[in-house]
Amino acid sequence: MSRLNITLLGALHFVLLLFAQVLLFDNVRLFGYVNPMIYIWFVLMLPYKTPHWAVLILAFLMGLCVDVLSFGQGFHAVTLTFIGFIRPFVLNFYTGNRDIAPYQRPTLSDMGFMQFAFYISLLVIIHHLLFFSLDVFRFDEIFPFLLRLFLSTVSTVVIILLCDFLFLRKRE
Amino acid sequence: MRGLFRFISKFYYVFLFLILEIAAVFFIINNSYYQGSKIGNYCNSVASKIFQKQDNITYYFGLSVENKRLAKENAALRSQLLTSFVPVNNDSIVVNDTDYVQQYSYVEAKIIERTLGKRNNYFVINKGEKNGIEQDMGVICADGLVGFVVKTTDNFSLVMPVLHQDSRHSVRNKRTNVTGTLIWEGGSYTEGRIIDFPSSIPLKRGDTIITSGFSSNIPEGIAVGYVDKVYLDKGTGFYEVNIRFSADYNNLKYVYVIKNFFQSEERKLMSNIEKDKERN
Repeated sequence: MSRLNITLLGALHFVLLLFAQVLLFDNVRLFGYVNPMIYIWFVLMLPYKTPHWAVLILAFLMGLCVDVLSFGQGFHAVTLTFIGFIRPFVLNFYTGNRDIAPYQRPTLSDMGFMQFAFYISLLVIIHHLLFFSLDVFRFDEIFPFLLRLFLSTVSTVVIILLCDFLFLRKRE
Repeated sequence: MRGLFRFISKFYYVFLFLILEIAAVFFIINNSYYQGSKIGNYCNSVASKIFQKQDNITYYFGLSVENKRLAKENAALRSQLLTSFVPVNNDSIVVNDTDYVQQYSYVEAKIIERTLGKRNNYFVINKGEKNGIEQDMGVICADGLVGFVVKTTDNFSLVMPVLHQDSRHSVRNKRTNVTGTLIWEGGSYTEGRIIDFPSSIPLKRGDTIITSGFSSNIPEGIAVGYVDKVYLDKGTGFYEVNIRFSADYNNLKYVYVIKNFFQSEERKLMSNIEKDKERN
């Protein structure tokens, strides 16, 4: 894969996930709590060797676009930029001594189920915790807050795992 | 100097991160209050065009439910028509129709975008200043209370529904006529909470809650919900009541925006109170 191809693919992912989030998943409102945020996946699946500045700027842009299209008030931009910032540190645990090809991505088939599920869950929990704290901000509403956090995290993680399995699986 | 450059080039992404976060926080500050212009401008922007397109497509899926709801409402309205009534005794009925002046008129509108899962939710409707919608007008639907208009543009309006932390509505128990305040504490969009019901007057599960008519933008007697759970706050002597909303905000498509012809008169009167406060 050339550099141009990977950039075009990235742009395609960006647009697809943005519209999937705004037009489809923002309309999912099970029990009034569950709101899957699949757009986070865009930052999580960028290739290992994407430069740090590119991850940060792409995360910021993605967050800003979701904000503008869904009354996000800027919370999506703040939280996703933070995810873009800590992603390299989390990925360091996984890459360690492994040889990484230029455009290799952290996906299900690349990392294996357990590691991938843990990687996705960790960053999604951090994202949702930050996002809902910015949104709610009150101690006396702690119970709905925790329920929302739990249900949204589970739904986001499950949907990302499913999408990865369906669309990014290597076909032998 | 070279040391400084080396330091910056080594940790450049930390600085980039901080700069981007500061930009995002500025974005939040500009948007945090609903009257801050940015969210209002949302109605003019590309976003509303996208949602209008999306609505044109998804609109068809809910038509059968919507038809049933409209037919039901038509039946209810038809039963209130003058022709549905037969005079009991021809001699004793006198209709002085000049005694009545119209106070409210309704504009129908379609919801084209909404949030429900957030702490503070908004609806966007497809009628704006061109259709005579103004800020502070009340919004209801066939099944109950929705909220009021907080921002208008030429073709769209932003509605603050009851599902918002700044939402306060004066409500009344239909059976006992006791008034209280409707708030929303986050969580499910099917449940609201009423504070300020005095505990001296008993309350039953299933009691109907309606609007009290104390606010000038929403008429009296609009359904709000049904009493679900009742807690007694021993410290204050007031009930805390959980209610189920009568309207299903998830499937809501059409709403009515209420124009109150007496609003300016009421406002003029209310402004005296503010003048009074300034004087003290």
